[in-house]
Amino acid sequence: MSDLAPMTRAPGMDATAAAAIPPLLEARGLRRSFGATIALDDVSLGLAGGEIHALIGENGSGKSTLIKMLSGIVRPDSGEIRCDGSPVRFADPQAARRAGIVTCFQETLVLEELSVRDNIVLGQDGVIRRCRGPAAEAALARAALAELGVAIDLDRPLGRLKLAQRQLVTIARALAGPWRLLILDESTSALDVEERDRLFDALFRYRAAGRAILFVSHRMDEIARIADRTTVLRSGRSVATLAAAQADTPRLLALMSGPEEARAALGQATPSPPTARSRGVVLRADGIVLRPRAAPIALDLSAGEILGLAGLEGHGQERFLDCIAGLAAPDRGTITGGTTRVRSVVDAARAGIAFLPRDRKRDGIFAPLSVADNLTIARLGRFSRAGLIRRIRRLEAVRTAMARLRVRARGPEAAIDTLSGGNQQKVLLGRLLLTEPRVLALNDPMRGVDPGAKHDLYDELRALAATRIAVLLLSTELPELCLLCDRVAVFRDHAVVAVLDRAALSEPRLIAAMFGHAAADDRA
Amino acid sequence: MLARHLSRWRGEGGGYAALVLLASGLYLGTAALIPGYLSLASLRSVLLLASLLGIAAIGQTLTIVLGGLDLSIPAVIGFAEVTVAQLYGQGWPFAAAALLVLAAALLFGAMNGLVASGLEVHPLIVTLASGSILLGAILAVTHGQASGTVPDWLSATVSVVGHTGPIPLPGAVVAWLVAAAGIVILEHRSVPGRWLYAIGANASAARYARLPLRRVWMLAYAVSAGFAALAGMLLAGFSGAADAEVGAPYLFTTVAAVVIGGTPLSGGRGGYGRTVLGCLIITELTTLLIGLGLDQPGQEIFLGAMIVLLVATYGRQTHLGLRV
Amino acid sequence: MQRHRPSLGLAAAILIALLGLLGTAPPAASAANDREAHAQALQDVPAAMRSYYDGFWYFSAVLPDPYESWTPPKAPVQFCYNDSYQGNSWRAAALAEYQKLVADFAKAGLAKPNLIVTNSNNNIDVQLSQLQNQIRQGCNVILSIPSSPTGLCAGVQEAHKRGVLFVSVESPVFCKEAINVDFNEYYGGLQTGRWLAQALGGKGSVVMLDGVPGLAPTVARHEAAMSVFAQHPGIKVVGTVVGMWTPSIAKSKMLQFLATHPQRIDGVWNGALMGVAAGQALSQSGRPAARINGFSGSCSFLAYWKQNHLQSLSLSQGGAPALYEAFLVAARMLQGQKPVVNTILYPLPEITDANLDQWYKPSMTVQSNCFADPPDGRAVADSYFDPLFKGGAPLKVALQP
Repeated sequence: MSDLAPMTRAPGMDATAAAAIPPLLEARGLRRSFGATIALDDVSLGLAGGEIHALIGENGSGKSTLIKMLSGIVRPDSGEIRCDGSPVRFADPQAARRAGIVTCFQETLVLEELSVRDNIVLGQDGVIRRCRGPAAEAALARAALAELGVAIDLDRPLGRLKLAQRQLVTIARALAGPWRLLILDESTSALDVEERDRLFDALFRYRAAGRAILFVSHRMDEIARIADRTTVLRSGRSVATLAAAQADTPRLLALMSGPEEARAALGQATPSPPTARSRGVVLRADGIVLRPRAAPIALDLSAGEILGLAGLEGHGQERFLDCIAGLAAPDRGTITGGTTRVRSVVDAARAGIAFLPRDRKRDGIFAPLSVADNLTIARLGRFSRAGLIRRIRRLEAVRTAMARLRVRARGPEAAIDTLSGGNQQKVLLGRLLLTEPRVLALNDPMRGVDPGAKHDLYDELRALAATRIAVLLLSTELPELCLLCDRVAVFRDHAVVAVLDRAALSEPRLIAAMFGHAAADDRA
Repeated sequence: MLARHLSRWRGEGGGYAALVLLASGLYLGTAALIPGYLSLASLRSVLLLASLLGIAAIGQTLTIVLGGLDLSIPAVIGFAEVTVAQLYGQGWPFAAAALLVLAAALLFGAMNGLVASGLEVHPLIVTLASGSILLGAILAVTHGQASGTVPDWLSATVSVVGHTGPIPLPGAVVAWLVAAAGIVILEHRSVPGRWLYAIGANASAARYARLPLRRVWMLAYAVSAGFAALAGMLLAGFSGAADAEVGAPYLFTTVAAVVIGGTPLSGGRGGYGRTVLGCLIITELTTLLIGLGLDQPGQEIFLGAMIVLLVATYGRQTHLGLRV
Repeated sequence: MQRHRPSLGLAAAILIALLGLLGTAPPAASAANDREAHAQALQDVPAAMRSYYDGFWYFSAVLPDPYESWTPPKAPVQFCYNDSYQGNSWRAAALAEYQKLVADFAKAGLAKPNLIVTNSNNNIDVQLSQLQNQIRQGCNVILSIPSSPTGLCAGVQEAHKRGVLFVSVESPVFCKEAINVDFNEYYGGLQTGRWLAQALGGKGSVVMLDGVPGLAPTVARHEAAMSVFAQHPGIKVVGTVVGMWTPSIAKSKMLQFLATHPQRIDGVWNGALMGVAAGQALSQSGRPAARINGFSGSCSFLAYWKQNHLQSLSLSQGGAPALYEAFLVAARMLQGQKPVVNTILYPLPEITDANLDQWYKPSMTVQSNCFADPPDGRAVADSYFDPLFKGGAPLKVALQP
């Protein structure tokens, strides 16, 4: 436990004393360019001990670069970083760590083959020297996980864990060691409500102990709930730092999108018009039993309908989606797409079911390949003759798809990994659409997508529904489900406990259902 | 300086400039050091040796782009060399012998791809094992008594002084350049070519995109074995003697040519255009070392050090910290 | 963690470097240059025979006869063959010769008709256990081609202790309990070097074409030839090309050598199996023909010699004669004859322009993989060994190769 002891000033210090001493970390006029791209233009930021400081901004606004700079990975071209009032220059990530700054990155960098314990203590040893014995390592790892209120088998390879558990492990890794500033980059994206609440409890404890937290999130509700102050980045500049009282969602959204283009963002978007459900069933799941003793599931999906799948992490909604896509087989029951019985991915393809996996980086994009390749790879036959690709033809199709999906990229030949997460997701959706699907099965498509791109994707899903494509949308964001879906099926214990119609949809109701408090009249 | 140039290369395209610079710089540098090197005869020798390596390295490149490796190339070279000479020596028409060897090689390669992708055994192990089986089979059949002849025109194809029509280059060099152009075009413009890169870049995503992984693996390894067989038949004309071990040097040099060209072993990037330059650089470099009178251990140390240096330089290109 | 990818690259580089090392494994040659010790070792060898032992220290040891007090087993004798490889025509010819000789002996009632044969595929540990098995199986005479000069010594000791005769064939071992029968590598270097110097008229530039670097035969042959060229101030050695005894490699390296050496090449000293490659490399590089020797008497070289009407000299180092000479030594020892030393060396026969037609057969081509056998099947006359043995009885059957 001694490793977890805060390296910070004693808690309970009164406000005047805190104001007299310099902030724990202060950034002034940070600037950095990569070639022609200016990633950071002018960013200033102060972090005091005992605060949770939120950082928001659209993708590309400079959040990642700022975090990398504070973590010693990227060096500023100009500007300065001060720790306790004195200027510092971090030569490498270890230097930042020695200064007490630990970071949990959005791209969860883990070694899948290694155990949970090894992943947590990773980076603390030298190349050969181990700092401590196996028992001490285990104790350290267990303590770090306990801080987050989770118990995970320390010897399991990380690759076998669920995404949420992996994310918790990466947070635990940051916590395992002395620190006084914790940077969390989109660290709640894979967590369910319960796990997230436990993380927040831990953050509140750290705040009370006088440590600082820099919290990066796309979720307004989270920011409203935990942030003491919020700094908004736009186009590489820090445009405002607001105290909690001033930081209401409309104001933050306005600051992020800029006064000139105050787009209607998430909270203000118009809900989808209700869809008539009489347009014909395109997918029927009948008597699906996801695991022994679970109640059977019966769900129909009509052409042009958006059906949401909700549930706490690991309650069966993901497995249900896998069954629809032919990737997994249910214990019992049948899935029928059109007239095709779905038992395998081949059947699913024949039934016109297109699946979007959850982990974009691992299962979606072909990282060094171009946007054009990524878009067309599954349907190259369409643009080729005798095995040779007809470039002009393909380029036209790619340009059309990019325009329609509002993909922001240098061009069709740009490498996909130079695009923001949201634009990558648009390309992947485009890939599915080229297969001319009747059913889209999407596993959390908005994960890690910036608000602007999210908005584009919402519009696109609605437009697709209007063309009679049916959409199965698994999402961890409740506002999103409320906004988009005609119906939402709520999973609990591997069964559907409620199907909420558009009229009945609301966040409180979804949460109630997820936690097993479904009202009797909502039951399917 | 060179390192900084090289480290700027990313992705599939671009960045050839430094590689071309290195290849031509080596040629001119050697010419400056060694009087008489700047002759047609020397150039043809270097091109001929590079072409034999280059043809053998086609498959190595494709399988590495796919995220694998083909260590059975030397065995297939030996098989083709011995078999084609033996059958022709027994009176078979050359075309028939060559077609049989080619067909057997394609089948052998397809099996490699099938086993590696189907059983999910690492191709390093699969191809090392299958290569060893193939070599063993040759020994068992021939009892080391391999003998035979090759037609004169085949020897002329791999003769430094050979001509291809009006072109003052031996047939092997011309065939290599044509094959190289074809491979580069297919890599970028054919459907299987793009599949190759996609699967090499991210096999999991390829599975979700329902790409025909197994077929592409079989195709890549079949093509690899096919070109290894072609290299073996050319070597039959080149060295004269039938020797199942004739491919042995190509284990190291084909991988080295791919790596020096800058195609990373992690797959999904690089391509044969780079390997062509890698083959030229290796051949020029070994020629330079021989020209300087370096002894054998010295040559190997130098070449090994060069590869480590280049790989370390290329490795830096994906350093996450350098990305926006 | 951020350095994950580069370390992958580094691992790849190390892998490649290791793959590269697979090709070469040069053990050091024992070339202690202690003239006095060498002369001491040869004191039991008759003075007239000592020139045939010149340079033995590069590749073998000459020690007292370990079977001085050995009593030969009674007939019929069990012959065994402890081979390390069967993958080339040389080895195949040697085995066939052994089988023939044993059959002849069996017919005369001197040997059991079955020859016990093992093949270790160049794995010295396997070969050692095969040797120990053969001793237990009741072998009386074991002819062996060891894949290491020291790796079998434990087995050789055991054989000696149990009264089993161990004879190495053309691969001397440094175990003091073994009998070695070999041609003199160094002497072969002298023979070919002398011919080349004489063919060039004592002047001109020469390229040395070596086998696998660091191996004893390579060093012995090379040093011998160099000692000859050192006596001719007009001969200038312009470089060494490492051809690995492999034609395709020799030709590649030779082409590269010629590309970087514009001067005229008058002669190529060939350390075996690479003469055709050298000749082709020269002619394809547009160079005038040079004098090239043969070393092993490969069919390929003889065909090249004949077809191009060259002037040359080659030694003959076939598998069948090598086995025959070793068998002959064993047969003498079975008759109670005692060798004066443990290592019996002989010179290789010479193929010359004058006698080429006795060796060359029309079936030989440049692609042939065989070795030309001596017209009488022997490397040297049987009587060559007489001065190297004492006592015992003459052979009961006249051996015919």
